[in-house]
Amino acid sequence: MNTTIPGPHLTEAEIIRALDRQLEPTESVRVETHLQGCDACRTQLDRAGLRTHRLADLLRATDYELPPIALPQPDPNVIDLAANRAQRGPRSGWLPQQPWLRAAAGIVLLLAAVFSITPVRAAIVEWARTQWGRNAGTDTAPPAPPRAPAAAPAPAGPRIEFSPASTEFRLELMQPDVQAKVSVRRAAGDQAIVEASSPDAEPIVLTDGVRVNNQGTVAVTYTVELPVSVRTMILVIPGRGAERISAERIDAGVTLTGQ
Amino acid sequence: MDVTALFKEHHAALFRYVSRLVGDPDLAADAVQDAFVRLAERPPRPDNTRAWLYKVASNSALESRRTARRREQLLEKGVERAPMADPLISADIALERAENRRRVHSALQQLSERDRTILLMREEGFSHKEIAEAVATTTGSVGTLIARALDKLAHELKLDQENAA
Repeated sequence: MNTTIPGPHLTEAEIIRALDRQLEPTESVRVETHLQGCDACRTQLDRAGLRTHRLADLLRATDYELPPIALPQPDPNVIDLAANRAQRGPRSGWLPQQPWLRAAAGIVLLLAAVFSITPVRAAIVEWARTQWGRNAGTDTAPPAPPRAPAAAPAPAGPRIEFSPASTEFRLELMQPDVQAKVSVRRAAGDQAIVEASSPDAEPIVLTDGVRVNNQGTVAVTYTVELPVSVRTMILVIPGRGAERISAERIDAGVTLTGQ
Repeated sequence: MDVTALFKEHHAALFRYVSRLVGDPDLAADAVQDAFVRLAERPPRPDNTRAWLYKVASNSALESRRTARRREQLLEKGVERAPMADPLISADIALERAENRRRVHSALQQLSERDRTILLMREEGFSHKEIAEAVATTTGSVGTLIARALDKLAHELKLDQENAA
């Protein structure tokens, strides 16, 4: 019997990853060391292994007979097209195939290069402004408002799609201190979709919903789309308890914050 | 892309996977055929053709079942096909297998579509990363999802009692 157990017990996920040989190298050392000294976790591992083998046996014993299927024949046009492409050799990346299209692309690129030279661009803009005033017959044309600098695109974070197990959808907003925002609305299809604005975010799918986190360094915006099968959303915020949100409110769209 | 080689390599396993997923061999055969036709006509990028085939065939089978459910009715009436590699067998064995098949199919249907996909992809030897991509979750979540789905199935099929016996 072991008297000292090295480290905390293995999680159910670690046991499955150990069985499936999917442990990260750093994880592997801890798991193996722990298993050597912990009877309880070895028992759990053995149990999961037995279940896995028993399930595999049952599935194999009840598989259906493989039907005779002929290899599908591709469309002859597709074969011709592939043969023509093979004869022409590999395509030269982004260049168009037709000579006239190449020439047109060259002219456009040349004009763009000339326009990018600041004095030339200023002269062209000034000329265009003069022409506009003369054609309009007045000089009352309002000056063009300064253009706002284009906003940098929001970094795309992870996107998760799944089928909610219940008509009650649980949304855990683990956001006690900062500014994360969660927009909830109806999805077009029958899947729930969760999108985060930051690649650092890692929403976690629960049995009956999703948990969203903010590590506190970046404000993350989440978009949660719920299929029509979801009739109620249960919003859980630590320290604030749970709140039930009706189908009508989901239909109208709800925006939640961690504050 | 050598469709013939891919067909030989993946056809049997793909049929096995889809038939387990939907519990209907005819529907699975159609879906697998569709997937290979699409592969021949509009091949995907070659980085993971296997995962692509499994996804296309599963989607096709699940969509067909959702819209029609025609094969479910046949199953309920007790129409059975011979098991894989199953020559002439006695009535007792055939009956036992038919009963086992009903039991396994019924237990799998108790799971959500997602849990079923996760367990059956695992059974086919897909990595947790590939499973995560297929069910749109993170790789780190797959271990937990497998453990919970296995718990549910073990409960439905009484796997622990059988192991203990």
